[in-house]
Amino acid sequence: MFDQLITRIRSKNIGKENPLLDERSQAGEHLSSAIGHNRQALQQIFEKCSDISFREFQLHSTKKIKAFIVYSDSLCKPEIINDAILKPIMLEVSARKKDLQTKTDPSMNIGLSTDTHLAINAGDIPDIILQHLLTNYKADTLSLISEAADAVLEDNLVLIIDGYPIGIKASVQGYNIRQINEPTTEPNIRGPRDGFVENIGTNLSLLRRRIRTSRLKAENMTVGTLSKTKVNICYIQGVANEKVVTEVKSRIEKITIDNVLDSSYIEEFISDEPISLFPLVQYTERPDKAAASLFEGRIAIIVDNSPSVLIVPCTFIALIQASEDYYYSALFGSFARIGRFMAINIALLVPAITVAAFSINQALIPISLLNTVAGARESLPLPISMEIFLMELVFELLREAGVRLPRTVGQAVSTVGGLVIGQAAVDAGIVSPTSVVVVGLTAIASFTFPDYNVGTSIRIIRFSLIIMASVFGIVGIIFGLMILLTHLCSLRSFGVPYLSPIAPLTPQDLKDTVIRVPWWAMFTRPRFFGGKEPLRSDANQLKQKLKKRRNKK
Amino acid sequence: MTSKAKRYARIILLILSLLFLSGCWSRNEVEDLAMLTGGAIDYSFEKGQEKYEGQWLIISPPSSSNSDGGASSSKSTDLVYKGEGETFMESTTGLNKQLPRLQTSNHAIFIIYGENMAKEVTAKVTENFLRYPESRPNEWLFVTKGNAGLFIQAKPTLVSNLFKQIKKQQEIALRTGVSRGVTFLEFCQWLLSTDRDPVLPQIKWNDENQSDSLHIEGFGVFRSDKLIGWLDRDESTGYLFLTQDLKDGLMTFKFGYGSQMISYQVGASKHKIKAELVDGKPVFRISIQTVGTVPDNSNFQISAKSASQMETAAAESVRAKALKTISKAREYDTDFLGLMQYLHRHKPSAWKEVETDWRKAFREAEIEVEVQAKIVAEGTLSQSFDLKD
Amino acid sequence: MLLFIVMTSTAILFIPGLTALTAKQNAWLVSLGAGISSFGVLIISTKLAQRFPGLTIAEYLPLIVGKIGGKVLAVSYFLFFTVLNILVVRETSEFLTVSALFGTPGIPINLVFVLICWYSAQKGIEVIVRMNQFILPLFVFAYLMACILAIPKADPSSLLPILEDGISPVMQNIWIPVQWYGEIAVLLMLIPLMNKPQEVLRKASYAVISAMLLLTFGSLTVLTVLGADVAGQMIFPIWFTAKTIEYGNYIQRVELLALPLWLTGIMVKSSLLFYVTILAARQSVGRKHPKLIAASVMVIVFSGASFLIPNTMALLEFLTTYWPSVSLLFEVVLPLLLLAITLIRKKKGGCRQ
Repeated sequence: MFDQLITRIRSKNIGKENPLLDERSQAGEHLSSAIGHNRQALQQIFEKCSDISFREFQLHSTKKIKAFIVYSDSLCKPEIINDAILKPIMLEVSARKKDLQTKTDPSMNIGLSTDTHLAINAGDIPDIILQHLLTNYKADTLSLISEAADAVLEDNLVLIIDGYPIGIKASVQGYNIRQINEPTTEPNIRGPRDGFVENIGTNLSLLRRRIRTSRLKAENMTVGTLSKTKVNICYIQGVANEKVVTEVKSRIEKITIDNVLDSSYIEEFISDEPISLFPLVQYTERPDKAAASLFEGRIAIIVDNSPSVLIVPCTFIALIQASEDYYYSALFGSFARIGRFMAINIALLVPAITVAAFSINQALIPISLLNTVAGARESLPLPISMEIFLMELVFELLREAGVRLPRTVGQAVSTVGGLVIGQAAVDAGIVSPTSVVVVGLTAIASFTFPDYNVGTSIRIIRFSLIIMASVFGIVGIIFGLMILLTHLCSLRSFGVPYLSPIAPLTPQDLKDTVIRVPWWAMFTRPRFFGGKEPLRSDANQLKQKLKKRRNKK
Repeated sequence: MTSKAKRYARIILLILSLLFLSGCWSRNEVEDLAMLTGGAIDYSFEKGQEKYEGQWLIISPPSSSNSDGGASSSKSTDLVYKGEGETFMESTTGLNKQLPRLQTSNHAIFIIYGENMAKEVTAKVTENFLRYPESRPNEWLFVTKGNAGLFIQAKPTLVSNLFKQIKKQQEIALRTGVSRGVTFLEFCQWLLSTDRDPVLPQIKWNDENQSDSLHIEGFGVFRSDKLIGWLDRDESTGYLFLTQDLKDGLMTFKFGYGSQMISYQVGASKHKIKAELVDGKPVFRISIQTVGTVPDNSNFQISAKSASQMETAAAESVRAKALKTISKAREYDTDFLGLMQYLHRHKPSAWKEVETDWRKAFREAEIEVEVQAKIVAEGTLSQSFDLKD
Repeated sequence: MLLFIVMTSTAILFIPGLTALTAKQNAWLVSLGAGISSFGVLIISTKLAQRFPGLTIAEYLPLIVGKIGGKVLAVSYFLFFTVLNILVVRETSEFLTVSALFGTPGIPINLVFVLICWYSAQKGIEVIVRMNQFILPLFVFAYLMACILAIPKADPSSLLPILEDGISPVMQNIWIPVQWYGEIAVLLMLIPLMNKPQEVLRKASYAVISAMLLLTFGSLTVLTVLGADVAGQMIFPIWFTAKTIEYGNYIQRVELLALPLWLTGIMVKSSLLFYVTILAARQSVGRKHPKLIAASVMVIVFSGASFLIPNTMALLEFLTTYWPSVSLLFEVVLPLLLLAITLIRKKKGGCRQ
């Protein structure tokens, strides 16, 4: 009985709901010739949108033709509207009309070529405006009301003239865009310091500046039913794998979410395994990194309103590489990379090994150290695995806190806080100094990753390894690592095995993984991206260099 | 839930449940361990009952220091504990019942065999050690006269723990030519081999009364697995010359030259063995080369000519030592010099003939020792003191 | 490359100990000789596979011997692989109990080991191969390090006299390592899965040669460091050898660091065996319920490893006395017979889609 009541209430409400009037509700409706009708339709759509403005005016002509423009206050730049649109239209249209009418002859009767395939007669006012007066770099015609509404919402201004079922849209974008700054999460010492911003046009320009070839393709897509975010898929034709490009496009097309606030939303949708410990889609805020990936044959996905550009396909090695390796000399770059590999190992394994060594496999440690630690731990309440677990948790908290604090305070809290808390804990007799040292070391090692996602994954894995180590000792660590390895080996990112080029082994790609060979030796592109152009530069360069060396000797 | 998620959930649950039901058998927190660093084993057979007595050295952890948390382990002392039992394992577990912590011999550095034990049950105890998974092949074994247990209670000199002292001391013993450390592995090899007898270095007190500090000098000789005799200092030196290639030595002994006693310090020595079978009897030719200096001239001026004469005299004294060792070996009817083993390895056909009673063959073997001693320098002085009243 | 891991991982633990007992200082020759015999197995396997391209042995058995006989033999092959797996698991847990995890009884180790390897096998052969590529250098490195670092303690004259008692003890003992080398018969199942089956002979020969070299090197090290007598006494002489590594005060206790890498090699081998077993089961028994078959294989292996063999002594006895003949049967004799039959009958099978 209760249910019936509820259903009846619900159905009543349903009946009373008004249909939503938005830009889609009138899909397919053409603009009419009557300006009043058009205006009313548009006003209905943009009801209660206080930033959408309408402005009526008259064209300077004998007939007193009415017109109005619709635009969004928040998206437009008033100067453009004033100078480039209203001024010519209001002041000059009639003069031109007379001009043209005298000069018209049939051979010049070229219809406006527009997307809407409207056959507009030359000599009509919209034609005149579009062809001669509208000094706007992006002007086009439209005929549907929904198109008009969409155009307004996409930084355009729509001009509708009485008596013609046509609208003209012109781009008046002028909202504030953040200045190009150094990306905060990926700083570097040497190399370009610009970073992506939240505007898709600027981002694309940052890429285009670096790749000035027409082979850099940028395909447009729109994602998000309510947010209608623009997405650009960029790749270098002939270098990137066509199959991957089509795959990317098809995956993005399948997204049916209503909003896309950040590129990470898209990342989750297109990733091969969204709930995986390791990211299968890379993101970056640095244009040089994105451009380098494009040269390798990968694909960049730029999302409007997001400074993170997605890069697919992604391999584990790519996550560990940093752009700076390429800006330093080969020797230092290799050194840095090897250091980073070791850092990963340390960050992952050291706490687990400590737990294993001190609780189960004491044979690992020489007796003097063992004795010291035993003595220091005598009066402590927790077993070592618990201690390390606890300290790791505390450091996690500190790290999270450090991210949210204002910059001035944040630095102080994270570093000093860690040390002070650690010391205080030791003094209070809660933990032993060994744990503080170990945890501090791993914290430092984990900051070396260029990619933040990997850091998070490593943290999670570290915790599980500590648990395994406390149960089975060093053998438990191996068990845990084997599971991890199995998982990693089975991952594929857009068809590329995750652990290339180590497994499957492609020897010619190895020269860019752990070390970085000098540029004259890097004449092949990574094979696994399926690029058609295997050679980056001339292989002759390599031969010449070797010859030079031989001659010198 | 999708089937994939279900599968993950199941696996995770399984592994988690593993943790809860496991209980971590082999987990011993490091502060719950009593680490044995050295041991001494004695054996006695009284009234028809075997008694094994093991005395073990346990390193005591430094008292947990406050605030600085520094490694102030220099004050740690060793504690000695005793366990008794009818079998060897019983004695070790008997030890454990006195301790609040679990013992582990993972880090044991040295073990001393008492005389009685070495005479009767070496094989049993050694096999026990070898079976035990925690034992390490690099443990040092020693043997003593009398009861080994007393030695464990010695106070370490110059270092903080006894095991450190012993570990370093056996190296020094080798360099000074009075003895040599024998690892567990080597001892087992000798014990198990069919052509060689083991020896173990001997630990003694510094002076005749049982005082605090000990030193390593001499060897205890085994025949198969039973202790039968001892080598004194000269014989030990001979043994070292006959079986080792020394480097970095500080072996000093005196020899007579004319009417003086001059000491010869050996820096390096090499030995070569040649073996053949002649008339059913093995014949060994051992050549020893030593290189050394004469640091102690007794105020005697050395010229180049007298140096060569000195060399002969020095060689003679080395040879005397070697011969003394060999005769001792024959007296004990053991071959701990490895000569028969050499025969076995390099002349297997010859070995076949004497295999059945190789010790007898050793006794009857002809052994010739040739020594070549070189004197390279005489310290920093070129002129000796020539004091006139 | 996989084959390399398959053969060496467990072999290295057991061979030196078992062979040194009787062959004494010539045990390394035994390793060498057994390697040659594995070539024979290799050749037979590849010839058979060439006759039936695209099919695994479980599939072409019915073709050769007739349906019922074929199914029976296929099932027996499945059992063979299962027993192999059980042995591997059991050997591993024995080794771990002695070396790293003292107090833990065998069951939890078995359980976790089986679970993990089974999980890897479920992911497919490609994953196993990739894991292998990742692990192989580490495994070889750890193994070589353990041997090379122990060499200064080695005494080469321990190897003398060579062939003291003649060649017969060597020959007698060859049967023991042959069973490990013969595990290459797992190739019978794997050939159709490879990319380029024609190159199998060449690549597998590399694997056999390198495995042979590595094992011989291992035997040599063990013998020279420990001496033939001690080596013959122990179950896992290589563990003891690794324990002897000590340089100064710093590089010691290395064995516990080398152990994990050996363990990974064994796990890859076990994963592969699982995969092969499950494949054989599916092909011989039926194609329905693949998940059920996979799960039951895991259960069988686990319970077999934990409960079938009561203690270490039984394991050793089994390995030295019964197993060589059984494994020879499956690895050499049966394929040889099959090859003979096919040659006589001139049968050739088709490709499986």
